[in-house]
Amino acid sequence: MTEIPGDDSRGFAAVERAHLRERYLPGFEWTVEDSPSALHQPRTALAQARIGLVDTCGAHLVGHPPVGASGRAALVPVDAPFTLTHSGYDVPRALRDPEVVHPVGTLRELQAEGVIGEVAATAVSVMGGVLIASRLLERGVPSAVESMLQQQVDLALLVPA
Amino acid sequence: MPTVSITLLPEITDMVKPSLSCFVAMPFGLPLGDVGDAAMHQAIVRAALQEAYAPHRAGDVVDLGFRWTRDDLRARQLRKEAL
Repeated sequence: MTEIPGDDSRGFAAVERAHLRERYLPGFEWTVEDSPSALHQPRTALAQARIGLVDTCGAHLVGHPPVGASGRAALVPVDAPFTLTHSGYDVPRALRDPEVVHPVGTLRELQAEGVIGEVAATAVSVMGGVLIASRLLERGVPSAVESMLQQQVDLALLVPA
Repeated sequence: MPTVSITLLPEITDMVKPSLSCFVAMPFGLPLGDVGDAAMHQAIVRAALQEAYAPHRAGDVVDLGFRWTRDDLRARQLRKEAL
C-alpha cells in the first residue's frame, strides 16, 4: 500500500463505505483490482503531444440530459457550452469556475504556452458517483477508451471530481 | 494508451490500481485548486502530465506535493461534515 507522508485521507475508505451502505446501497463494496493497469510511456514528447481529458465531474452539453448514475460517458467537445451535474460535490461552486473539475481552458493555456502539443477536441466526462462499478466498466470506460483512441490521443489525463 | 490520473484518495486508488496516479490533497469538487486560482489549476495539470514522462512502475502513486491550505474544507469532507 502506498504510504504518503501528509496523506490525511487514510481511513476514509472505511468511512465512505459505511456512509454509502447506510444511505444509498446496503451491499456497497469497493471494487478491488488484483494488479495494476499496464503502464505505457508516451511516445510523443509532451510539447508535441495531443492530450485527452477524461474526468468524473458529470460535465455534459447544455441542453443534453446528464448521464447520472447510468455509468455512461458524455462526450463534450472542448469548445462547446457545457454544464455540470453531480451529487457528490459543490456543483454551484464549481460552476463559478469549471476549470476546477473540467480543465479544458487550462489545457488550452498549456497548449498556447507550448507545454503540450494540443488538446484533444472532445473530452469525456462521467458522473463519478456511480456505486455499481459494473455500470462504469461496461458503459463509460469503453466509451472513454474509444473516444481517446479515435482522437489518437498521445496521453490521457484523468481528473477526479 | 498512456494515461496519468490525479487522485485525492491514495487509499482508494490503491484498490483500483490505475497505471499511474498523482496525489493532491485537495477537496472533492476542487481537485485542481480553488475557484479562480488559475495558477494552481495549471500547476497541478502540468505536474501530472510531466509525471507521465518520468520513470515509474505500473500502479505507482506519486505525491505531487499540492495541499489545500485555504480552510478546513478537505478535512471536514473526510469526516463527512461537508460536501
